Amino acid sequence: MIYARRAWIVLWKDALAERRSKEALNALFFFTLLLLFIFQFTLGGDRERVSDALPGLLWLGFVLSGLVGLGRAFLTERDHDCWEGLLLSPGDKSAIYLGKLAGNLLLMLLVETIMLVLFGVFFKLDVGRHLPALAGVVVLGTVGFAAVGTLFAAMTAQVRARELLFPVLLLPVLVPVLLGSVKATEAVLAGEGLTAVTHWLKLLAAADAVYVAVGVLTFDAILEG
Amino acid sequence: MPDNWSFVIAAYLLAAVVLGAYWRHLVKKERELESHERMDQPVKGPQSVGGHVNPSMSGPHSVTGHFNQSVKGTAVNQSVKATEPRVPGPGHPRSEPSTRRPLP
Amino acid sequence: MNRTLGWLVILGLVAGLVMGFVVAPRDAAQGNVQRIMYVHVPSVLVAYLAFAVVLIASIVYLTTRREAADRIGHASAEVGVLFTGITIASGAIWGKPTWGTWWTWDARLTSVAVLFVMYLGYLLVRGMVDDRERAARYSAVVGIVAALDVPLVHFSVYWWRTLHQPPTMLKPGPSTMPGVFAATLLVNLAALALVYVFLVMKRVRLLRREEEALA
Repeated sequence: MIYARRAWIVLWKDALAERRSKEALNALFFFTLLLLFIFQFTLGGDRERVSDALPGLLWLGFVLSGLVGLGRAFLTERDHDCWEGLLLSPGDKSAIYLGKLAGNLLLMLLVETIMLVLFGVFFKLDVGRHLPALAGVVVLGTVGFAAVGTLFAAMTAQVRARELLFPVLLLPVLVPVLLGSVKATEAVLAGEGLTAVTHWLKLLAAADAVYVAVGVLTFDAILEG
Repeated sequence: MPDNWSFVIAAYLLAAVVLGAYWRHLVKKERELESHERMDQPVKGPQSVGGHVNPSMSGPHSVTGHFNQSVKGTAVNQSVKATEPRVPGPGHPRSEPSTRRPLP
Repeated sequence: MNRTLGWLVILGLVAGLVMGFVVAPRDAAQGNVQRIMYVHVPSVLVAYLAFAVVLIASIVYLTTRREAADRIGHASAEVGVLFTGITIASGAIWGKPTWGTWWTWDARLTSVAVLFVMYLGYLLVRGMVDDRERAARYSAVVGIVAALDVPLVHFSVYWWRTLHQPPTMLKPGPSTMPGVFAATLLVNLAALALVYVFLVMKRVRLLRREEEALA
């Protein structure tokens, strides 16, 4: 399975680089912390209101840190002139996409775990009680996020106004994922369990499948030239 | 229930204005391009015969170009795109260099 | 060909206006404000048509790299965004006297708003990527992602608005429509579809000329 091996190599390279420099992870951790401070300052007064808004706030935090994290997804390739390396790699370029996707997914899940813990501390969110269901929803939503995000990050990596174009392209497309994730999280945190929201879960799964498929099929066209 | 004709008119007018403005924008750009192309004709004439042209010399070329045009039927002009020979339209001294790439 | 199309467009628009203002009766429930629907509904349908064309053109472009496909996709996206804007604006103008507010996060307005922003992004890519060939490739990908997202947006927004909510939502456009209303809608739809074709053809011609001028 040379294809899988290629994807794995990309993932391994990124993970190794990250483990050595810890650049992204440290910065993202502090960013998450700051986000929580800001949420507290802007919304923290009324306990009732905040606890109603918690699912939305949680995903807002995920989205904001995701934008920052994904925006840097192809930074090393661009800054260190490794783009040609990507272009010249043999075989199906979509393996690179899957490798990058896996790396971004892991990074985002890590950041989201930290954020969940911080939410538990700052907003008294009882994460532990519904953990399996919550984890399931978070993974479903994050896969969709990372799938489109990786594709658009590669696209905008070499564009003039990438810091602007990337979120502008990404956010509207992610509306279904956002809605589904927030609604499902709401249900889980309210104790309703996943069975109450199977339609949302199916939507999330369908979105994930569509985004990954498009990414695999079009990544080649993005990388060219 | 009050009829709110003003709202109805507003909606229809808005649609008309948006579509109409877009159409006019397209027509205007097309006319601009046409006049550029016609201005390029006289310059491209001698260019196709003489080979490389230095863009900074577009002044004298356009003069000879216009001269060629008014003489009509010079062999030079026939080698270019087949648009009808006409006196260049308004605004002619303006924009030729912008439609040509600078030579390396 | 172009001339006949131009006359057909004018004919269609006149027919649409006659149907909309003369033939179609005043709506019993909403009054004459309901006539805005003859602009609003055909516009959104034409917008969907436009974006479907963008999807097909984008796929064709990515698989064949034929420039004509790229031009058609670009032109169709522009006209589609225009019609989407008209949809939103006419919907808001209809909403003010009917619901009492210019904007509400009801399912249909919200999904059209998301649609609008998605394809504005498509046009932004066209505008911000300098290399024409790269712009073509990138926007083709965006066109495909956006189009595939449309049903997802539709369902998610609809469920978001209608589940756990009392059924007080007015759905624009009655589901059981007497024949004359439906006929008026169809005539106006045909008219706006002709406008779409006319504008796209003109834009494609202009794009081709622009490329030739640069060559």
